[in-house]
Amino acid sequence: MDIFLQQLVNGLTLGSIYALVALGYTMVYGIMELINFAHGDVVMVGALAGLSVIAFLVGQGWPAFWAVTAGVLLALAACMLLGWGIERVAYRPLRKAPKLAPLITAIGLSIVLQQVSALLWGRGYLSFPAILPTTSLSWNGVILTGIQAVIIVLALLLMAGLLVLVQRTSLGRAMRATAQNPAVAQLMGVNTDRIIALTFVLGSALAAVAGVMVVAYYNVGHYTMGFMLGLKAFTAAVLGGIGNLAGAVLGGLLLGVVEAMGAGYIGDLTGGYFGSNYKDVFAFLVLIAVLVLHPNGLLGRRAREKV
Amino acid sequence: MSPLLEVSGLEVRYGGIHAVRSLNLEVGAGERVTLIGANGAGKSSVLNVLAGLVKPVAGKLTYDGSLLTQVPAWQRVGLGVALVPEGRGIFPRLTIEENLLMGAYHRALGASLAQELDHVYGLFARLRERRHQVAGTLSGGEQQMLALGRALMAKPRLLMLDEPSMGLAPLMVDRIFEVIGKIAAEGVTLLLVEQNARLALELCDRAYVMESGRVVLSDSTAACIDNPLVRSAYLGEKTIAEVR
Repeated sequence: MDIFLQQLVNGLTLGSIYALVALGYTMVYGIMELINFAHGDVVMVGALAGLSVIAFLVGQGWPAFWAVTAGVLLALAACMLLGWGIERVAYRPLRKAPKLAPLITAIGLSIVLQQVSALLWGRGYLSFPAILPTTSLSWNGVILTGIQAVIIVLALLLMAGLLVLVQRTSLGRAMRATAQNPAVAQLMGVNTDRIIALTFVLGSALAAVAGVMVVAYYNVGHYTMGFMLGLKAFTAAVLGGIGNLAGAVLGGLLLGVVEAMGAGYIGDLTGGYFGSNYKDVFAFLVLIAVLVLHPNGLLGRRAREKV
Repeated sequence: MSPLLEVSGLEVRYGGIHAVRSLNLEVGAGERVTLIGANGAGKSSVLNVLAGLVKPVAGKLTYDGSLLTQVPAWQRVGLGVALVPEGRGIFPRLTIEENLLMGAYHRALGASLAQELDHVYGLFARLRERRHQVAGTLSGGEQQMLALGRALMAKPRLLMLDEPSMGLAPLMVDRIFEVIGKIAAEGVTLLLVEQNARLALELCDRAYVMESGRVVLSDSTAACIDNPLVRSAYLGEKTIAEVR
């Protein structure tokens, strides 16, 4: 039982991060039916930008709280600018192209972002400075660390904020209208180009926060870290029903828990033959199971389009 | 006085298809004008050009004294040019009320919002009953009501309607045309594209008849109804070219 609850806490932490990243995939898909495979690398850029700023400021003698705040803000600015630029340069010219073209562009963009980051930050592992308080809550042997609590609460706040924006404001209404029928949205006076750009910027902002969370949680960053993280978040988005915001949140949390449970129990279940380093397998087992059994995802609409 | 809308020398092509050929058209402020003709005559293309959804290869569009050609589609509704598109174009996963609010997206709505929604709900009681339902659950006729209501929320000066009767039961068609008449009576200028020529001619003041992308006839609707060519081509079965 202890293992179960502990892995639940760990899984929800991980799942909060997946959910933030999955929202970026699902928002872009919802509005233009494009899988932005470079999204994981936007998370990486946010992570490395945040990490290097925090490390630098801590070196300058800044207190941890202010260094982290500044790091998050800079990562936000960098990723939002990057998201805006990606849409403008890589996807907008292909808006009317066959769907395969932007997909290939996305993969190319992912490689470009990784290689430019390798030039900027080097090909080695970057470590997060040991500045975060190590206080934790303990209850019957189950430990919730301070950083886990911050990640879960901050992620929930951001996700709630996004849902309110999309469901309750005039801007969110324009976003949903653009997703459903861009031509008619224009007839209503919606500048759909601006709405699409905004969707990328919002998704990238969530990616920036998720990136800093990842490096703060695992204490390490690397220029290839966006690949696996992106694939898992994409899996989470598909699990929840791609295009559906609440689905991305649900899929992210669920995937985090599945992965943590898998990592926690796989050793016992296989008599020690497989260890927790096989945890990545579970995300993709989930992806395969969803695609075979329920391709629309948990909250997805019935698919109408042929690919 | 110059007309509210003036189109001259309009040419529209889709790839190799020449959809509209050297078309001239005028709509005066407060006028009710209809564009009738067979399927594929180019009527919808004219409206889509005016709304900014289709780029013409040539032609001059003047609206309220200024050139419209370079104005992007999303800015035109702000000038008072609204289109209810063919097939209604409602947002199926927004609620009815959200669809109506989209109509007013381009202008700041203050205290008058509830009043304006009330005005639309007054015209279509059915929409008020179902205001919190998603619009995709409405029947075709109700969706057409919603599309009309949404266009009213835009407070247009020039309201363009593309085939409002399409796919609707006769009773519903009567109801829709009754409301269109009411809207026109409030002083909104009307440009109506319609396959049901009889209805369109009864409602409007002037008509343009289009065949194969060209205007083949323009006259007052009263004269059109008496015109034997129109009678046999559009209130009967043959085209003007065949009758000639």
